[in-house]
Order: sequence, then C-alpha cells, then structure tokens
Amino acid sequence: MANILETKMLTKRFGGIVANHGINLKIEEGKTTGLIGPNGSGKTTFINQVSGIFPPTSGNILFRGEEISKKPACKIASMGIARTFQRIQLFNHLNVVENVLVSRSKFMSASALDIALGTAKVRRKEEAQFDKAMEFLGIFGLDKDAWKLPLSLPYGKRRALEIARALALEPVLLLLDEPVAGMTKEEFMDILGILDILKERKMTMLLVEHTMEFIRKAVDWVYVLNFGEVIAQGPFEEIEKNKAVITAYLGDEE
Amino acid sequence: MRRNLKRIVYGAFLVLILLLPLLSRNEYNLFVTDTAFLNIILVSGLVFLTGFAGQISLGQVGFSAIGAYTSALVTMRLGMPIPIGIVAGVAVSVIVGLFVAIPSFKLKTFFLSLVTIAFGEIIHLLLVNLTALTGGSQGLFNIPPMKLGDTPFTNTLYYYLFLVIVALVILLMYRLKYSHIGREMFAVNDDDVAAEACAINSRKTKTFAFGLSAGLAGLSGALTAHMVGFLTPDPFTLSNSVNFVAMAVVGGLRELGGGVVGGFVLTWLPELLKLKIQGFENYYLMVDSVIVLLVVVLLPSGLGAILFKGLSRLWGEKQGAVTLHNSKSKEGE
Repeated sequence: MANILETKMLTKRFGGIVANHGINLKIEEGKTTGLIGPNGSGKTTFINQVSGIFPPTSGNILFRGEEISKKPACKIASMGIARTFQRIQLFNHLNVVENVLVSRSKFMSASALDIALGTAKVRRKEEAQFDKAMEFLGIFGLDKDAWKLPLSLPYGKRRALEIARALALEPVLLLLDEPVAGMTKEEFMDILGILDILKERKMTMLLVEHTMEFIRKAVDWVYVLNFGEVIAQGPFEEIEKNKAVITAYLGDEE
Repeated sequence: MRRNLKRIVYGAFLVLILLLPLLSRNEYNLFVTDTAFLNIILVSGLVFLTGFAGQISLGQVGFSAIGAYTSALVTMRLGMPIPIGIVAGVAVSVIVGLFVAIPSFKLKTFFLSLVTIAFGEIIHLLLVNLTALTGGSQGLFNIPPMKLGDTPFTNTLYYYLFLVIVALVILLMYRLKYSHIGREMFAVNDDDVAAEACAINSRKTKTFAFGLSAGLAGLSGALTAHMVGFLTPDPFTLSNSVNFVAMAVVGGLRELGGGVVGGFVLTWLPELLKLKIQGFENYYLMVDSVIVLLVVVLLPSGLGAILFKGLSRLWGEKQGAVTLHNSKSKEGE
C-alpha cells in the first residue's frame, strides 16, 4: 500500500525546547495510525506541523509525495489533510449546518461580484452545498440539530460535529487530536462508533491519543513519542509489551 | 393576520421614509438626516469589518479622508465629472485598505487597534502637512456640488440619492452575509486557526473585509465632500473614528442593520439634545456619551439586535438560533 504521508527528520524547536526531534513517520493509505506518548511528548506539535499551523524548524513532510512543509494551513487543508483539535474548536456563532458549510467553501467559491448581483448560479451552488452539508451531518445523526448553536449541544455531539466538519472537506487524510479526551463512558463508545463509520469509509487516519483502551481498539500501527522522539513503533500488541514504552509512561522501577 | 400587519407596518414605514423630505420643510433637519445617511454608509462597513470579520479599526476616518480628498482633487484639479471623482475616491480607499489589512495577519485586538490608530493619525498629519495638495489646515474650498442639469443638488435631492445608496449598501451586505464569504468572515472571527484548518484563507478573508470597509468609508467621505463643498483635516481625527465605532456598537455589531440603527441614532441624538433642551448647549456631548455608555453596558448586543428581535417577536416569527443560511424553503426547520 502506498504511503499517504511521510515525514523525514521532522524537527520543531520553540526557543530552547525541542518539541519534535527528527521524527520519521509513515501513514499508509486506508490504515489508522496511532501516535501515543506521555504528556508533553510532542504529539500535538506533530499534528500542528503536518496541518501547517506551525512551520517546521527543519525536516520534510511529504503528502502523496509532495513537499508541504512550507505551505500555509489553508492550502494544506484544501489539498486534503483535515484535522480536529485537542480542545474542540467550533465556530460558536455559526449554527451546526453552517459550521459544516464553512468546510464546503472550497467547493463553491462564487465571486464577490456574482454574490453582490445575487445571480441564480450563486443560489444553486448554495443550495447544492447546503444539501451536501446536511449529508455529512446525517452520517453522525446530527442533521436533526442543524439549526442549533454548537454550544447548546452536549460534548460528545460537539466532537462529532467537529469530525463532520473535517469530513466535509472530503479529505485524503484525517488527523484526530485526542478525540476522546475528557469524555464519559457513553461518549467514549459513541466516538468508537464514529471511528468505525470512518473505517468503513476507508478513511486514512492519524489518531493522537492518551487513552490506551481506545488506541487498542482503534489502530493498525502505533508510533510512540517521548521527549519529542519516536522511541518505538509497531502493532499495539507489541508496543504494549515494549520495555522502553512502559518506562516512558510509568517511569523506572527504582 | 400578523403577516398582513407586518406588511402594513413596513409599507407605512417605507412611505414615510420616501415622503419625509416633503413632509418636513426644515432644511437643517434634512441636512442632519443626510449626514446620518453618510455615517450609516461608513458604519455599515465597520459592522462588516469588526462585527462580521472580527477586525478592529480605530482609523476608519483615514479611509473616509482619502475618499473625500481624492474625489475633491480629481474633480477640482483634473476637472473630471463628479461620478468619476467618487469612483476614484472609493478605488484609492480600497487600495489603501488592502495594505492596512496586512498587519491584521499577525495582530489581533488591542495591537491591531493601535496600528489602525497610527494609520488614522498618519493620514491626518498628511492632510495637514501636504499643503500643496490638500491645502493644509486651511483645507479645500469650492468643491463642486452635484448637479441636476444646471441646478446644484438641494438637501432633498441628496436625501434621495443617499437613501438609494444606503439601500444598495444594505443589499450588498445582506447578500455577502448569507454567502460563503459571510460564513468565512464569521468563521475567521470565531477561530481563525480552525478556519484555516477548514481550507479558509484567513488572510484573504481579512483583506476582503478591510478592502470593503475602506471602500464604504471612502464612499461616505467622497459624498460628504461634494455635499458640504469644503474639506479641512479637522473632522478626520481619532475621536471621530471612535465615534463611528460607538455607532457600530450601539447599533449592533453583528446586525446587518446595526450600521443603520447606530448611524441614525447617534447622529440625531446629539442634535436633539442640543436643540430641544434649553440651556443644554454646554452639556449635550456629556449626556450623549453617558447614553452611549449605558447602551453599551446594558445592551451589549446593540439597539439593533433588540429592535429586530422585538419586531420578529411582534410578527410571531420563530425565535431560533441565529442562522445565516437564508434558503427560504429550509428556514425555521
């Protein structure tokens, strides 16, 4: 299978702190890759670099063979890398369906002049994208909440909405940053259900997580970060028994 | 039943607006109302920039000055017709606006407002010191008025012209708000990082908002120049920029009609305080400021928000979440 994403010696420094140090990571098409590690090990920094929010200090990011490490975030998103955020980041003054419609902008860019003149073409595009947005909401059963504001939804639904908004970009690769952080047991199960839906759709994913239970159920391959470096990789069953990983998470036995 | 009531009330309101200059023969009242229209044009741009796109500008009179002086000079020095002067004024304002947008790529809130204050001050200093071009603190005189045939526009004619322009500005804003451009503005306003992750180019969005608001300020300035007939640097100061922001806030920053309500109320309020209350000549500005303060503190979403919400309740329309999507078939689901 082809690699959708490959990073080569990816490094990010913030002043004296090396958040990511020479990370080589590959994400295979159609697979769910996990990225785990203790707090502060550089997982979110990695996602922020891949999605273009922080430009890397050095190293390369190849997306389907193309170098993207110098591209702005919006360009990377429109090329097909969608993401969610560790702390849910929705557009709280837009209603649910509008949140998803924002991601559909790249499919409908009508000129400002056409919009000012209110042409029929603009109306048709708007209607078509509205229907499309409702379809994406439908995947997660959010279509009934289309006219609500995000903050009126329970936490689990907000997370689902954020994923729906990412999917509406029709991405090639989906980066999920701690999707089950701070969730109740039921919400946790809901997100697992969402993940199954995504897997059925053959979505390639990078899953950053803390919760081992979730990683165990979800991923095909795991990378482990500690102090910004990859210390192990492999199927979860192997990683679970890896001495270095256990030490990183639990500390030495002394 | 209520739908009919709504039609009757709005119909009557429209007739009133159209007949107002014929009902009131008071030239001063007309002049103040014309000024209110000019302010509405500028403040609507500010609602778009600050309320929709979330970018603060305390230098809006800078754009207004650019529009005013450009149009005046193009008509006076180059002898061009007034419409060309106005178009030139708007164009130059827009171009400058696109450049003023650049700091907004990196700066937010207070820091951005400082940059825009600096921009306004620079323009003011240029107006005072580029004497050969702007006439310095003496200003420009005998700016040609608009004419119908050979007779210059009266306040009544300006009233109708500005009314049409305000209507077009509101229509433009309405269409932009309910389009992908409007959603992008609100998205960038709420969370620009998340907007970028949704493939929205936030720089482009901010640049567009600055360009549009600068263009509207320039239009307002150019129209003012030809209506009043002279220009000095005096009105183009920080305190007036702040006054325009106050109009936007009082009207309702996130309201389509926020500029109309704020521009109208805060243009008329000081006039009413000054004229109608005896012995108030020295205090009216203070009272005006206190009223603005009270509105901002007690009704932070603005008078416009209260007014429009009240009206839709009166018509028995459903109070749902604020929706931008205006597809009639799907409304109120």
